[in-house]
Amino acid sequence: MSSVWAIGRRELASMFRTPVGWVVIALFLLLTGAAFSVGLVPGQPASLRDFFAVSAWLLMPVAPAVSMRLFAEEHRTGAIEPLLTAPVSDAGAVAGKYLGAWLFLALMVAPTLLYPAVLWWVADPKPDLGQIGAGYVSLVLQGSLYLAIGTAVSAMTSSQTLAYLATLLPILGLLLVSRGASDSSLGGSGPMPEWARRTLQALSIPARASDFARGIIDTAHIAFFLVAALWCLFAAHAALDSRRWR
Amino acid sequence: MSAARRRMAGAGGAALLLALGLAAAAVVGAVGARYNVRLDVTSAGEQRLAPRTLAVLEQAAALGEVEILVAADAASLEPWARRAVRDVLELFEHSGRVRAGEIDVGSAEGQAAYGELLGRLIEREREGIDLHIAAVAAAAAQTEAAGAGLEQRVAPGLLALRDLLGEGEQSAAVRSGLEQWASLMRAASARLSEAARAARAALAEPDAALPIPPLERHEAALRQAVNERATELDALVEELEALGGSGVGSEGLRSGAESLGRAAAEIRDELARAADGIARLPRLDVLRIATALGASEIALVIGPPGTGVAGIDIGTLYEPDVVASDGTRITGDVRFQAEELLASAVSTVLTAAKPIVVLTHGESASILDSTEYFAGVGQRMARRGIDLAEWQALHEPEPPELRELDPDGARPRVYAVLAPDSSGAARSPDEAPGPERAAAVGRALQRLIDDRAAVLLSVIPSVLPSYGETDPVAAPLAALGVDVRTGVMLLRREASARAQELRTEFEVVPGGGGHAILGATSNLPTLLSYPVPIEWSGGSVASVTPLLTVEASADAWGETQWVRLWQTPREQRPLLPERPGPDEGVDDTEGPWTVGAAVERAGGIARTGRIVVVGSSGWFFDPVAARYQATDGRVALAWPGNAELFEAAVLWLAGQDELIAQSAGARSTPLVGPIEPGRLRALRWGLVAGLPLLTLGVGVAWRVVRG
Repeated sequence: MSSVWAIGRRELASMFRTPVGWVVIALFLLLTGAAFSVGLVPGQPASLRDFFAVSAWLLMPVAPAVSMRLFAEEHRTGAIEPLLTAPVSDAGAVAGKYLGAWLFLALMVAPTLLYPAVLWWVADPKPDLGQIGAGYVSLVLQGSLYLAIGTAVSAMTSSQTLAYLATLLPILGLLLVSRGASDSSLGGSGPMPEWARRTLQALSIPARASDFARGIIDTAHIAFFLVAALWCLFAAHAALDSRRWR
Repeated sequence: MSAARRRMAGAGGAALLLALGLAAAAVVGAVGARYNVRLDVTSAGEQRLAPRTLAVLEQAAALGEVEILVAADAASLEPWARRAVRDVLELFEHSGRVRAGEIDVGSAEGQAAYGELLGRLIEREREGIDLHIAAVAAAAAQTEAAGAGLEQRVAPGLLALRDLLGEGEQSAAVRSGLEQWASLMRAASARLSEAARAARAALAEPDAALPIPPLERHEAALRQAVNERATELDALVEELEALGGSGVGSEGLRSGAESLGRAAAEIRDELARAADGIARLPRLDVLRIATALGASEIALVIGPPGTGVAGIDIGTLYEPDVVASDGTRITGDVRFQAEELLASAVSTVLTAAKPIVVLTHGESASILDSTEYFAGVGQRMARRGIDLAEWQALHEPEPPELRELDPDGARPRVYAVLAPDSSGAARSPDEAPGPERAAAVGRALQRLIDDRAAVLLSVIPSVLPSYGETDPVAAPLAALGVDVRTGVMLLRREASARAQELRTEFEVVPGGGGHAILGATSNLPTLLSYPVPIEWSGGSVASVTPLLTVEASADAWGETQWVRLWQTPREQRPLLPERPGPDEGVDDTEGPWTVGAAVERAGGIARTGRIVVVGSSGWFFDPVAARYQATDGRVALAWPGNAELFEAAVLWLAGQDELIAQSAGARSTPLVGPIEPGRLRALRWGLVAGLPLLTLGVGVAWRVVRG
């Protein structure tokens, strides 16, 4: 466990060693700050839903940028060999790298806690902390899944660019799949078979995020994010393990 | 093992493990989705439907499939308002009891879906539409035949009568009259033919926006034309009968007038039958909301086959206007208003027999048209399909028949009896003094109680008991063992910065015991002015359940010497030399006091025999029950308990207990309060630029410190 923590801490520190980490956080705060400020209009509902919606989309380019170097950089520089021969299991290495990326994401989101504080100050009656808390849970779960996808992809390649793009695509797919699945007109029968529509809906992230943003915590959504993230980490482990028999 | 075999075995093993992992993930995901728990973590239960809504949806689910569809051009809506309505639709859908969704008519896909919806609606009422078309065609034929009869028989007949007239002054007047009638009948014939032609043309040409003829519009036009001509013919028949019975002209003229009168009467009756045939047609929902349907923007609630369809105006759904306490119109809470409107529409579709509330009062003039008192309450009731009517007990000894609202007498009636101020003098020579008005209301109340009608009685302090007389409004309840002590007024003292002030308004609390009405009103602020206590004796005639209570307090008491206070304008009361105070042995100082009660008589027969007594007047009028507050941008009912109490009492009295529950309007959403423009600008800049710059600054400092 201590080795996982050590790897995670080293990974986190490496992200702040270059200006990129700081700039990514600053950009994230700039865009989410703009989204939050636009909704800060007297007489309008005091909610963070715009912020959560924008943040969810911003995670799409940010998470792959954070995760792309986790293993790809090690592959490229050859540092993967010392890592795999170190007294830490493959699973420990994956968990440590993932933990480092996850902590970076948490640090990136943490300053946005200022927004609910502002809302608390300007709203009457006070904003709903339950709803806000659910929104943050959603953000963390989405970030966790995206990072897990990125970790798996990064473990399979030595190119950071390829890792970024190959992570972006499935995330984009998960976000856009709801478009294909949505058939809001009741009674309307689209060309898509029902089973396909249901499958796409089950994979849709925006529909789940929408529930969280409204203050609904559905155990099915939590299970979806956690199971999907665990499977991706399992895939990352398998990718590392493949070096032994390749 | 060779390298190739090792690689194959490794790859195969990895693929198998990944496949197993994926299968496990799918199973866990499926199980999680099947046995999921949805938790509403909002503090106000914002993502839960109101109990009343759930009660309505429960009822809907029992009857069959109900669909709620909101068709609107998404681009024309405020995004936050659209989101609020969408939230509500999703809650309805997630309830599993109805189907709910949106149609964006601004998109090609939405237009197609809307077209398909219209087709379904029309097909659903095809039989009725065909019936209307056939009836209009028949009425048009009758109208045309009647028009021809006027042209070919009546008008020439009138001129023939004219020709039979002799000379003389009287004959000249009759001649002129007959000529005028002949012209009028020719014109009437032309109008009837025109109306019939227009109706036929309308049947042949469907509406531009709907694939059915604009039946309601043309039915109304045809009926109007026919009724107007029938009225003219009625007058002509009377004149011809008068001419036939007069001494004017020859015997031939008089018998001719009688004969022509009969012919005109036949045509009149034919027209009346044509109009009646249209009037008796069942009202089709799809025709009633045809204009809104044609405009493609409407919220629809479609009940199971055999029930109805209700439409809600999109503007009302997305921009609900309410009147604030200062009289200004403000936009209400979209989220809760949308839930209210949709739940009410579902309820309207499912329940055919909606109650009629008959305001029973002792005023000389109508009070129903008073926008000051009943605009808001009327609107709220109308949303639930409940109509307001009135009984002016001072002038009408019998309750109104209300044929227009209830032709077959199937709707339950709730008489909201308003006690008048018995101490008041006549305000004008046309008005009756207070005691007379109280007597009229008392007689009406007695009649209603004798008839076992459903009564919602609102009483007011009365001077009569202090003169040793019986308050006629309270007396009918005494026979049921309920003593409404109108001679006593509850007062309380409240310390202010300057002195102790007398207050006549009380925020009441729910009475003890479980009652259906309390399910809707508990925990909601409820205000009563000038409350009077209600007591009852345990008898077998009726069971009484306390609904509202004024809590016991050292500063509250039941005052018996209140007349001077009552007659003093509110602003002058602090100047009263001897202000009332609790006098031991004279006043009622033993609280708590019941100020609202539900009375149910034993042996309920066809009528409910239910009575609700509230020891206050005006508690459900707009100034209290529909008073909205916009405090720092937040819009909410000031006294939501009053509105809920009225509605719940009406439903209980109407015997519709299953619909009693707290409505969504009793809740509110937090809004951003007012912020000075300068401060808002600074706040926005701080959030947009401040945080990122601060982050970069920390980064620079980090680099400097860590090297």
